[in-house]
Amino acid sequence: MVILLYILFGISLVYIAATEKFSNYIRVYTLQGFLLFGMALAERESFSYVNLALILAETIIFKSVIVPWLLRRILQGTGIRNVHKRSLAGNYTVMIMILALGISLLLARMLAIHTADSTFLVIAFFTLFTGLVLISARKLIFGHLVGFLIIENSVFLFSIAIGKEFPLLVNAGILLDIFIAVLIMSIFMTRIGHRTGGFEAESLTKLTD
Amino acid sequence: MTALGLILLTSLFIAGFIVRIKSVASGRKGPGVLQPVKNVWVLLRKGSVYSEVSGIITRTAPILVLSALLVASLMVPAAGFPPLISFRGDFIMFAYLMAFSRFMMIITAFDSGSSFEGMGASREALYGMLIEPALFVLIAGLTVFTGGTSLSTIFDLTHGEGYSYVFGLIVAYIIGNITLVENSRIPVDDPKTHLELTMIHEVMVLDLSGFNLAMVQLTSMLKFAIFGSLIASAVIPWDLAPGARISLFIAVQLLFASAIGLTESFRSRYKMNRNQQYILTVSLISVLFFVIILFTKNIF
Amino acid sequence: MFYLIVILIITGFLLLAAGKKYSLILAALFLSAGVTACSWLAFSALFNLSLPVEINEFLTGAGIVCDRLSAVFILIISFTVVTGFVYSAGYLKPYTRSKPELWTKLHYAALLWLYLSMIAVVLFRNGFAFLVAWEIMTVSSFILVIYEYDKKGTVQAGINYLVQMHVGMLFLLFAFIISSEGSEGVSFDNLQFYFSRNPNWLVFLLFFIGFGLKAGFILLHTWLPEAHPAAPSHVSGIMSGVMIKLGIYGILRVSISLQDDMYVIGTSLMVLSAVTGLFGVMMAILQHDIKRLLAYHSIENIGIIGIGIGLGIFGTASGNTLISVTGYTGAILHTLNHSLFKSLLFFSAGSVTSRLHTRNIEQMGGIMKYMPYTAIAFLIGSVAIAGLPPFNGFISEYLLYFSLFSGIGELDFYPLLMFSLVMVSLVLIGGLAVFCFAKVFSIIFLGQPRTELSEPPAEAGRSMVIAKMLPVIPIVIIGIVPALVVMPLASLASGIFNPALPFDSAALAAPMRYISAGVILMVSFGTAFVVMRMINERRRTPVTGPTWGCGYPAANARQQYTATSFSQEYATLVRPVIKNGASHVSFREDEIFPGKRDFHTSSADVIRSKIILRPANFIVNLLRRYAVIQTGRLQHYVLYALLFLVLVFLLTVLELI
Repeated sequence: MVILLYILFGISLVYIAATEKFSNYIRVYTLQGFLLFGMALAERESFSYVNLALILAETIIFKSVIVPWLLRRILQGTGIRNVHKRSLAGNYTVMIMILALGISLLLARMLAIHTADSTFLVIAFFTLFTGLVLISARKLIFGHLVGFLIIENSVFLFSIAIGKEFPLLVNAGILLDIFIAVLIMSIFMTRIGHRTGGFEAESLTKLTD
Repeated sequence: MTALGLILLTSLFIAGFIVRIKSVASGRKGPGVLQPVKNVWVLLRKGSVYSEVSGIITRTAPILVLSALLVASLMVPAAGFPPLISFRGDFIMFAYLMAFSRFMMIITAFDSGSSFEGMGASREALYGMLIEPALFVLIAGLTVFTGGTSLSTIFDLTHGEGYSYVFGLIVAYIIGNITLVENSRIPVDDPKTHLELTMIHEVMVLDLSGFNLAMVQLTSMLKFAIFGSLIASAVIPWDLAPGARISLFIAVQLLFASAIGLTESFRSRYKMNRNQQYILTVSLISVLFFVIILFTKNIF
Repeated sequence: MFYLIVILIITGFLLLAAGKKYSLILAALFLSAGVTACSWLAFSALFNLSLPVEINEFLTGAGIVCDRLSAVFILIISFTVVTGFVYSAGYLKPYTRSKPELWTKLHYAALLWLYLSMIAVVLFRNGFAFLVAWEIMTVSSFILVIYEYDKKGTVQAGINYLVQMHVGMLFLLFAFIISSEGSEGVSFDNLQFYFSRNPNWLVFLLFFIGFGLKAGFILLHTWLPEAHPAAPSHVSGIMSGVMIKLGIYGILRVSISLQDDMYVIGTSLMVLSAVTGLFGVMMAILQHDIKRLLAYHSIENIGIIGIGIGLGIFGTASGNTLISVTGYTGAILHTLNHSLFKSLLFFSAGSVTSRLHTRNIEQMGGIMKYMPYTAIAFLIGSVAIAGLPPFNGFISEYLLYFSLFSGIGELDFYPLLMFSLVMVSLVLIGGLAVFCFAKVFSIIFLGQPRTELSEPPAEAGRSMVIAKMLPVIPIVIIGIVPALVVMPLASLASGIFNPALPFDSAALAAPMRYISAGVILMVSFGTAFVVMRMINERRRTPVTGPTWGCGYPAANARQQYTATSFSQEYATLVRPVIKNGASHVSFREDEIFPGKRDFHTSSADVIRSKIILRPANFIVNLLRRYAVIQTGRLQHYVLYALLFLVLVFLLTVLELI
């Protein structure tokens, strides 16, 4: 049963790399929030209500409700819809993803740590690489933002992989990262973005003074 | 023998069933389920028109297309009924027979000297080449999972240890996508389009008529039945009673046909340069399946 | 070895001295004598017949050892050289008028020397004798390659080839000398002793570089795409068919004695060969010169053979005889198969290019109507080289897949990953080969001619047609009844490479039978349908009409799909890896009826330009600065000698020397 979650997570990453509409990014991110909740529950050994509430808050409420709402507001405010034509072509993205899957398999095997569940390590690495691919292969800042969020997902997965407890500090750090990123990005894109001419990452270099 | 009989039987109605589903989905009643068979019967007795430019290739290669695929269908299991030909590594011959029939289609297309057919042939060659790794990685994953060595054993998923019904679903999904590419359906190619510039498979048979066209249409029907049979073998447990297996087989084939029909009705065809990405994504899903098998088998 | 030199001198002299009419017949006589003798030797080795005692003594005295591996190679070499010779009788006829008579006679002499030296390479075990035979092979093939010395670029390609072969020979010399440490004499048999005491990988690497330069593995391949187009077609066929396989022979000979480091060697060989195969076929698709295209395909097939050898070594290392024996069998069978269909393809290409006077496939088209035999031969060769059933290419690729999947079913994580990677490379190589040859055959032979032909090309001469039909027979036979060849080769491979481990050949016998059954069924179905079609056409006669042009009334032959268009999507896909480009064509805005424009596409061999030419040019430029020393005047050179003497005198006086 848990394997279904892994498979769905993997397919969601494949889908993010292949799709062309930004609204699909948001949908996949929402789905990933639910899947992370399921994975966290499946790996838990004992339930304590505080921890459960925290995980619930972090994954479902934060990742599946609040952040997608903020992202949707950004999309509405800026009016961008599709992945920019000048980004890396889809073919090469998929080829790089195949390579990334192989590399994450190798890495997880080489880093075989006893306390870590190797399955999670592979998925965590694959998520990491997907996030990196999104950041480097997309021209518009929105893609970078979603890439960053996916990397945060991978940090969450790493924390599950390394230890079965969920250290408060790590989770708090993740939440803070996501919050700041989304907040800053939404302010930038809805207020300032129109003035800098386009939402490409290169236009950030014009913000010299 | 039963396997071959089931596959041939399915090939008779599956193409018509897909057309029927598409018609019903768009609000029409649609032609009968056996209409493609009736078309083929008419074509077999019709006269042929050949182009002045074409030579012996147009007259012989379509026949070889069907012959190769017939031999390939002899190797396909049908939900536990063993195929007539089965040996160690027969999936390689299966895949390469399909590549042979593709080769023959491409040279048939060029024999007419028409640039439309050349266009379709080049696209078909590229997509056919890109989809082969997906099939082989899937077979490699199945080999690792079941430990079998031929098509007749590797699709027996339910008896592998660590089996989960999800595997059957993923195998069905991957083979379904491979079918869409190999048979040139939406989203790769629209079989109903009339624009020669955008056709892939239909344009390669533009210049065929009569007997040769019947050969090609029979090939396409047989391909559907073959892939549907592979899906049925992966999904149906092999130790049920024969009667139950046969009825489940027909049910799975009908479900497969409905899925294809509904996909064709509700999806639009991709832009040409998006096709490559789609095909590579199918390979990526195959690799994902392979990785998951590695986990389950604790080889990892 | 002494006898070899004597034979070469005598035959060469006789050939050069003979009259013009008799030189061809004399060469044929010598060749048949050589072929008969060597085939007798080969068959007696293969079937364990014993030779008369005097001959045995003569052979051992001369240092000739013929074991089963050498016997197989002798047969491969003899067959292809014979077909090449038959082909050259017709092919060279137009040239004998324009080239000096002595040059053509030298050509035939070089052909004979090439054959004898190739046989000698396969028979000699002594290192120095081997290297002498190797050198004779290089020089005679050089003479053959530069036959058309008046054409631009031929001599340059030939010299490129000569230099690279000598670099290879240097590596071989090093390898022989290093491996003879501890034993007397320099020989292949000493390798056994050397490998048991020292790390294997260094000597194997040296041997690999030397033999790989001849075979055409990646990074060592740059002479191939230049030399094959420059050479006349029968020479390209012989070189590509058998001469580069002697590099494979050398690698096989060395890997017999391997004892240590085998995992590393096997893995790296497999990965390198997979890259070679992919590189060769990826470059081949972008070529428009047909002989260059076929040369790159030779690189691809060498990659496939290398995968087989790597599998064999890996299998021996892990003790898995199934992987090992099927790997080696696949490699040797592919050597045989490739010699058959590559020589066939080169001969067909030669017929077409000599009739059309161009090597550019974009200018061809519709040749099937004028040269049907050549077209059928090329079709059979294309289907075979793409590895498709029902011909022989499929059998050797099947054996390699058999070996790979046996490994995938059984191994642990890291080897499993590597085997899967190599398997996917093999799939891609096969798919790309189908892509390429469907394109090449269609563009050359089907449709309509793309340039105006002043006169329709006639079918090739009788000797050329016979030479093309000869390889078709084994291609078809091996395809239909593979067990005839595969089972003996499997027992050969198991006996030579894994003598200690038992091999159960039944695992291979059943698949071969089923493959035969499948092929025969396919042919029967095809025949049945053809009969049905003929019955149909008897009742309703077919009608001919123009090709459907979508209603466009002015379609002409130039509008047909071209090779560039066929591979255009592919070219865009691989642009990051293989730089290909097209010239930019633009039209002015007010140009309503566009005028004539020129357009050309190009693809560069990235390895040649970046890895070979760039350092070479750098060194040349560096040395150019110091070339001022060469002033060309005798007085300066005498001055240099004087300075040197003074220097030596001073150093002796100061007791530094």
